[in-house]
Amino acid sequence: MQSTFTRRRFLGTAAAGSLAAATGFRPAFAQDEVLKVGVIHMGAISDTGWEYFQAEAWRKLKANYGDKVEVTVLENIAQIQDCERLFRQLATTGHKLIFGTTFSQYASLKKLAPSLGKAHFECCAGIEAGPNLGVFEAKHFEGTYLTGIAAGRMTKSNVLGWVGAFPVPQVVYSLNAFLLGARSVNPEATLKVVWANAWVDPGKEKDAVAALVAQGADVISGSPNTPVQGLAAEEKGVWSIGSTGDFSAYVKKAQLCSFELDWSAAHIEAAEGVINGTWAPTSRWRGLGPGGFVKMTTASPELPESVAAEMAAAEAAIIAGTLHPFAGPVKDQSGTVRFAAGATPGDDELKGMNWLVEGVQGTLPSAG
Amino acid sequence: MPLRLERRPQPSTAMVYAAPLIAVGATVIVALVIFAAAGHAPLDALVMFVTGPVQDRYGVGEWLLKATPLILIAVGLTVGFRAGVWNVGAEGQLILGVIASGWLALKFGPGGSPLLLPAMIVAGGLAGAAWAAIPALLRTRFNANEILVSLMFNYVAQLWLSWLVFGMWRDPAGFNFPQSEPLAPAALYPIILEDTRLNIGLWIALAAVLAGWVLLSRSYIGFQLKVTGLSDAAARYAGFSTRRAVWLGMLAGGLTAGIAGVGEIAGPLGQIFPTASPGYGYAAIIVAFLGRLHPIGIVFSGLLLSLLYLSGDTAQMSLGLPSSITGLFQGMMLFFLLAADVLIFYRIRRRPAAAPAAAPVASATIAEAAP
Repeated sequence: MQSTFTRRRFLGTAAAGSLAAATGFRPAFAQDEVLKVGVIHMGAISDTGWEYFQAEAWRKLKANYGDKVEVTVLENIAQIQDCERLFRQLATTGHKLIFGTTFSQYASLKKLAPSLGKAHFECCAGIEAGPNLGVFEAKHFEGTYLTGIAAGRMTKSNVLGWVGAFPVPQVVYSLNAFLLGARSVNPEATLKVVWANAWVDPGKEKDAVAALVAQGADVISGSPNTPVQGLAAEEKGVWSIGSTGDFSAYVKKAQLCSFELDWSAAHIEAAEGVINGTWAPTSRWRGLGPGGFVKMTTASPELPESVAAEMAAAEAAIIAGTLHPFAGPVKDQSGTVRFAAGATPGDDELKGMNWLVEGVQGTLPSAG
Repeated sequence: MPLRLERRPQPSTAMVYAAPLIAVGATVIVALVIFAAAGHAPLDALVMFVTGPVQDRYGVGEWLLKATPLILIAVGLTVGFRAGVWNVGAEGQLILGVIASGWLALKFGPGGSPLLLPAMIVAGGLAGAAWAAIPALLRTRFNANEILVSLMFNYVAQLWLSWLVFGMWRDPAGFNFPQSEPLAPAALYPIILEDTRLNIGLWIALAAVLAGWVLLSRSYIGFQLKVTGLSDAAARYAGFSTRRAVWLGMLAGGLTAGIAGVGEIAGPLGQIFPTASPGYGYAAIIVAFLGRLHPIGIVFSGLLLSLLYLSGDTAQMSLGLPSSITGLFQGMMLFFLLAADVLIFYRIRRRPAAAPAAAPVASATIAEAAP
């Protein structure tokens, strides 16, 4: 490893040291100051979907702190080339806390964060915390396990359908847990997967739903962040489940239940840390429960109370830590035991998940 | 009142050069109105808009970094545009440059050979030129329209790149996200301005400007291209090969676009993503025309358009304007420029009372007036 000791760095540290000595030790942030927060959205902030939940988080942050927090928001910064410049620009214009909203910004932030010490950085869906860079991600699988219970109870054909966006671990563990949840109440259930290869592509999502229904699926869920899948399911007369999005405003009849992502705790805790001078780069990976990132939302009136109660019981057990969606025994498609009976997988095993559980019919688009 | 356009016998050379300034001026006026409508002091907002992104060395570095691919591609496209060869496939040719040089970078990057970068530049340029050669061949062999073919090939190239990045080039440590592993240091352009991202790509672009100027303004080939652009028949009569003009025009555009693609992954990206270009291949067409199809003019228009890119983001940050402002100003500038160009070649006349059916308006382009 290369030595990181350079003259510039040494002078900087020395200067900072003497400054601290002169002023006495105090938190970096004065209490009466307004905290400037910067957020760079990769996509447009629309009414549903990923960036919407990101925007809800800083909106709640603003509501929580009132005048003490000022938020600068940039949206539609789709090109990685631009990210670095803009993160830097935010950091050098007095923004003390800066958020990235997607994994795609993680590499830029990892490179930038250590050299821009005046600001602190947080990246949603980043892989691991680094110097001056915190990350946060949701345990989507806790939500899909619960919606899986509803799907397992409601299916008549015992065939469920999943519209996959991309085979990233977040999607893979979501659909795996969906089937595990369903099988916890209905061991006959199987799950068919069709890949749309897009986060948002109405045409492909619609085609995927049609293909799943044609194969007998009667409860559809999936990863793309649009109401299209629900609307297509409604058209076909099958149930739809909103994963990471409540689309009941669009899908009037066919949405069985849904869960949303709520990042406000990540934003508020980070802001609190910066204001109190206690911010440190952490990795927040949370699911259901208070302060969590996964929130169960609306359920159809047609969802039987007994099923809703079953879901609520499982939710309470997950929050209490007595139930883990991936508690062993869990087998993969080939029948190999991945998590032994009695074992609970570690975070790293879940975060890098690249295999499908037994009962999933479909494959991961292979990597060459 | 019935009006018609009448071709001017002699377009004014002075106005050919004044047109971009008029277009910029008109855009500024509309911009002031937009700023005022958004509740800002118009002049302050304009100053903020223009100077905001370039207030320090880093900002200037970013500006030149953004201008580099635009200038580079526009110079190459100009060679074709002068001869009336309409290559609108620079975006796809850029992507081919990314694919060819990316393959080298991923395969030989860890070896760290000093020959890697030159090899990437050569490979990227050749791949871009090869991609442009397909529409050139179809045009010269079968008279297929090069505008349509080169445009369609953009989508094909994009799908190729997606296929690679989603498949065999996916970073094994990247959690299945569609991106390659970071390129090795040996595959990255050296930085030429400390503490910025500005790299040797700028020198490559300026070398292309110089080469373009010599080719177009100081060589016999440049003269042939111009004549071909003016009149196919005249060129044939003079014994100049139209085919050669097509080949030269397409290959020059493909070459520079391919090299610009190398500059993106070896520069600000440092990694291969499914989308390698924010539409530089299309923006460069505007740059070429705004620069009056002249290499020196292109330097200025490239700087202007890249500043506009940066300003759009700054406007979001400090003026609270939506990100679409960049596209709006770009579009307006092109619109005003085209309007000005029409008036350079045509004048508006009141239609005589009993006018015969209007004769089809002969198309005139700026290539005619370009020196």
